[in-house]
Amino acid sequence: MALVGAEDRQEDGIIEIAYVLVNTPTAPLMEWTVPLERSDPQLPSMASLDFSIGRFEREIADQFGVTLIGHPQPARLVKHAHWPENYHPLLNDAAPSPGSLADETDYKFLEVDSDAIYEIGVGPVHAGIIEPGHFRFSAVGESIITMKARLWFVHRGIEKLFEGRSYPEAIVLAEKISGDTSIGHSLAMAEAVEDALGIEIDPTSTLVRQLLLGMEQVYNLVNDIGAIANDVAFSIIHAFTGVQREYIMRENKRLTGHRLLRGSLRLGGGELREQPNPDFFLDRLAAMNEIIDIFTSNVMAMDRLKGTGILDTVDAKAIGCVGYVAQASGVPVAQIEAPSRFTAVDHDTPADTHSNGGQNSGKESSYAGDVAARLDVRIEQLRATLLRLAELSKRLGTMPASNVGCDQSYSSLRTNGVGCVESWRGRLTHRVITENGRILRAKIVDPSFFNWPAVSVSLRGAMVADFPLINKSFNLSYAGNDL
Amino acid sequence: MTVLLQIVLFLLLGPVTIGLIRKIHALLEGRRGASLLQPFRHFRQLWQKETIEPTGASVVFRFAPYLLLGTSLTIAAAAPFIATSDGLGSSSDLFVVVGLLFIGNIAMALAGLDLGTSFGGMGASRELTVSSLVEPTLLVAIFALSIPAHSSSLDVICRSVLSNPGRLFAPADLLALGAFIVVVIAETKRLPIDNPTTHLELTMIHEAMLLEYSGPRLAVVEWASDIRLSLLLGLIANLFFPIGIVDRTSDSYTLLISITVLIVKVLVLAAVIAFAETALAKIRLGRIPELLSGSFILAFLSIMISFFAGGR
Repeated sequence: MALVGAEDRQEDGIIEIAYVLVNTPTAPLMEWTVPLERSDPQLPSMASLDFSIGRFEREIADQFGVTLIGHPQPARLVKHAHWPENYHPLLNDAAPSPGSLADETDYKFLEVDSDAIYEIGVGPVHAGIIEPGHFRFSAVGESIITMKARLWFVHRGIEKLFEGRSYPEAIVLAEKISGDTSIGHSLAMAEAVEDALGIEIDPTSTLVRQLLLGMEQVYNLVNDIGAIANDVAFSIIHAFTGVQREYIMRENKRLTGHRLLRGSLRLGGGELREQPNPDFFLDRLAAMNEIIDIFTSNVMAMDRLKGTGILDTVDAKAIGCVGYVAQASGVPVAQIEAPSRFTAVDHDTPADTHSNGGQNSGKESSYAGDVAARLDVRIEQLRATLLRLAELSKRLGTMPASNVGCDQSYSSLRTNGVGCVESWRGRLTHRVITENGRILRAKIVDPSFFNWPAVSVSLRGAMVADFPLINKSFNLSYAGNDL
Repeated sequence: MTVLLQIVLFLLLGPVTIGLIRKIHALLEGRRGASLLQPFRHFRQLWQKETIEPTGASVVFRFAPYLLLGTSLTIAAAAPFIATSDGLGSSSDLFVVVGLLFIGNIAMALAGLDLGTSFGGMGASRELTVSSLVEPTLLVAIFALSIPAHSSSLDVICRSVLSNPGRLFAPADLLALGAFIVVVIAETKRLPIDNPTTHLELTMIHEAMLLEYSGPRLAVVEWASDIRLSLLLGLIANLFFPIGIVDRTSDSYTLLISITVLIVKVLVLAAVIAFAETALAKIRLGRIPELLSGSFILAFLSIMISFFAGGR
């Protein structure tokens, strides 16, 4: 399940629930909609079929006031306690802001009842410069019994902001969903709108999009490898990767004018300011190989990573994990990746090894689901992507410049479209409903939404002191999850 | 005279030691790094801040920093660093030194528990776990040195090594040195036991107890911790390589040489720590007892060798 979204169609008197499935046995993508009576919306829950559907349903219940029938855990998900019970922000007739209100109810953390248990609350304001989230640990001595993450502190109402935007505005706004996935989100938004309008992309633009997506993946992976090293106090690796990351950010700036690659995508295309240089990526590959060698040959550092924060295959599949998290737990790539009709990833390039199934399927299942596995997956992805970027740069040098003007005469018909992108963090999906050149409703799913519940699961039996390391190995976005 | 000199020396040397370690880290990581005197600037900044009293703070919380500083300075005064047998010389017994160190530890652990915060309690529990393993090893390691000297006075131990430099390479002393280095690293919470630069509350040992301190009190705690590091390095230097230490106060000229030698020795050891730390990662919290029991075994072997081989 890639996405479950809803739309309030006030004039028709219904609330329409849309389900988007990817990688089904019969089709890469399936979509169906269910209309609910707007005056008394009741949705039979499918939470027992799939864990992630249950969480999507809770989100819809919060945003649209839909009553869930037969949901095992119908608690609030998005709305914090100070939101009134009967306020549902995504209904068209909802007041712009309910104002600042006192907490109506206490947030119920699972209480582990015993004399020896003590609770540690961390956040939402943390010591580092990171996003807000509250973690409540119940621990005996140093062992974690359970951890509950409370999120949605950075809820900005971004889905509501999309309503009524023109397409170029929407693509720019999508860059702001989660800063480290600027390209991923704006590309998904562009593809969703293109899907809705039936716009075709020329080959040069497709390559440019692949290059941008790859560059975003590379700087994030380099950063993650350094951050994992830093969390085991191997700070020299962190310093070295910081240098490499800075080179990549500067290359980003040279190619697109923005260090986070923003502003380079547009409807129907994508453009670079300068010609990419294949040698740049090969140099980064050589430098990173050297750094990774130092890191992985340090016995003390590797000892910290192995066997820490294990997420086994069964759990990863049940939770519906995506991206490197799922891959590190041994879930086959074909099951979690964005379907190729939508991904900008070109599977024909020789450097792209990870999706060729065959010889890799055995290797993937050998990942143990621990922090070390999540590091290994990143290292492999980094190497493959750097090679692919070098290849792409060479091919782009021989391609004609793209100057396909986008047809600005948008149809006034109501259409919908889905954009699904394999971003660096995993599969992310946008579904838009458009009319008259405007977005009526956008539903956004960041990979973090699928992966957050896995953090708690992987902490079973872990030590309190290992939590920051485990959390870093997941490196999930708060902003992308909270929207 | 030397008592005062030693106190002043360590007040100044402690922060410089930390400054040097940080500088070396910075240089190895390709940064320019702050000056060696940066810790003093940091203390001045903290000193100018107001004192904030957390809710529920008691006498323990208020006075623990001063107790920590006091015990550290007492060790600085009593132990033989630049000269042996000064006024306090007779009290520079190894049990006194180790006892003083742990009074400071206990004070900080109690202060961590005082407020009832989860981090304070967690830090105190970890600190005491480590301390309870460090304390016996430290005692046994120094005790191994005291057997050939027939005294537990640090003064006498120093003089006996000084009069017989060949002992430096005796297996007993080398084993004791190994054990000593491990416990000093554990006691000062350096890598691989604890990461002093981390901001992650959940992984901290020493720093977790101090989270509620701010302003002048934090300055006192940090200054005292810096002094303890240089004290312990000074103890390693003088118990195992007592070259340069003067026997009773002579003229100011020899005293000056002795001070310089001590500073050089402490800073060289600090530099060794800094270089070693760049190649180290932090070990799992659950592995710390294994490391420390290993060092206890070294100390114990050392005492055995001293007793049976050296006793002849």
